[in-house]
Amino acid sequence: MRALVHLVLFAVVAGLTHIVSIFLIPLVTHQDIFSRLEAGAPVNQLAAIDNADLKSFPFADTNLAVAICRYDLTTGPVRLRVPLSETFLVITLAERTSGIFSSVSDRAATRGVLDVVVATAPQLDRIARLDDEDQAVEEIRVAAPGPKGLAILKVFIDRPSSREKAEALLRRAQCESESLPN
Amino acid sequence: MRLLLILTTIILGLLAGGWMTLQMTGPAAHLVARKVGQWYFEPHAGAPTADPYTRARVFTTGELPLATGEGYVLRADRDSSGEPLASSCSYRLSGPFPPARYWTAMVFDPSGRPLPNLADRHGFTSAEVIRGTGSRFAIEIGPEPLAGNWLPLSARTGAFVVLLRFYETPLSATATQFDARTLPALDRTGCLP
Repeated sequence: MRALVHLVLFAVVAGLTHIVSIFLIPLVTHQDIFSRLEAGAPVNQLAAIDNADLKSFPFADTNLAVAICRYDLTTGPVRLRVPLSETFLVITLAERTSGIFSSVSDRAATRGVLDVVVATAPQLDRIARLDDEDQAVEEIRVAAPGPKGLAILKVFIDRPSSREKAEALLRRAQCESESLPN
Repeated sequence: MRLLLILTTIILGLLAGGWMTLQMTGPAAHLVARKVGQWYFEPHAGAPTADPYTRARVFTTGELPLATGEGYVLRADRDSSGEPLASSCSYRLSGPFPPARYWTAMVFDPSGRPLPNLADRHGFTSAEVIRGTGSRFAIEIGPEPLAGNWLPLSARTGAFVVLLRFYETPLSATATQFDARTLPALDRTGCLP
């Protein structure tokens, strides 16, 4: 009887530890890619990740030119503008403790630019109210779950000779905070 | 005495729970991934709907998953016959590649570092690969120089992993109806003595 009590206690403690730790890992770890990219990155500004840094991330695809923008929406939405690439171009949006929440690829670009506005839900409401009814909205609006996060810009490098071009393209990209009129 | 016994049970429970977590999230954990032929595939790793196990794994491995709309990754640590991949052997990656705007085929050591080699080549992109008639192609992976698209291995490396990334695919990453016949095969072609 006492052995059974101990067995049940063991199973309950083991089960609880397992479940709690699975949920805690994303909240406490700092070895994940989002924390590592975010560390030391300037806020609301683009920062290029050079190829040597990219190689230090496990299983990284080095056939990419990568830049990140750590955004903070507390003062207003953030606008990302990337000129179009001949190859695949994608903006992945992520939060440090929950991972990727959205991505926008160059298929969604208009007039040669991929134009993405990241905003919180209340900011999106205000932007929608400010919209001119006669004009089509050309930017892509993404609702961020929280005010802080990370935009990862990736340009595919199809052959070694196009690396320079892809990196130059990301240097021309923009990540800026915008203030909404009252 | 009784208290000590209870305490021991609790400590053992904590250890067992922690061990289970390590098993489920560590590099050897394939439980959260689907398997098609020799390819492992984590359909929700880059989605906000990732289950807690997938999410915990993404955060422990330190990898950047592809977002759901971006594409998907296939990973193999065994060849078509089920044998573990060894860098002293040669392999041929051939057969149907799923449709994608671009793909990359890369080799890594089991912890995800690029394999050191003299040619400094760690993979091929869909644009780089040399194609034969009917745009057929094969990628040769091995320690000895091979004709065609050769991905060099260093015989000393030991185990290795092959990663295929498909960018912008008409098949969504959450499409789980993959069939082994629609994916490339990774066949062993020989081994160093």
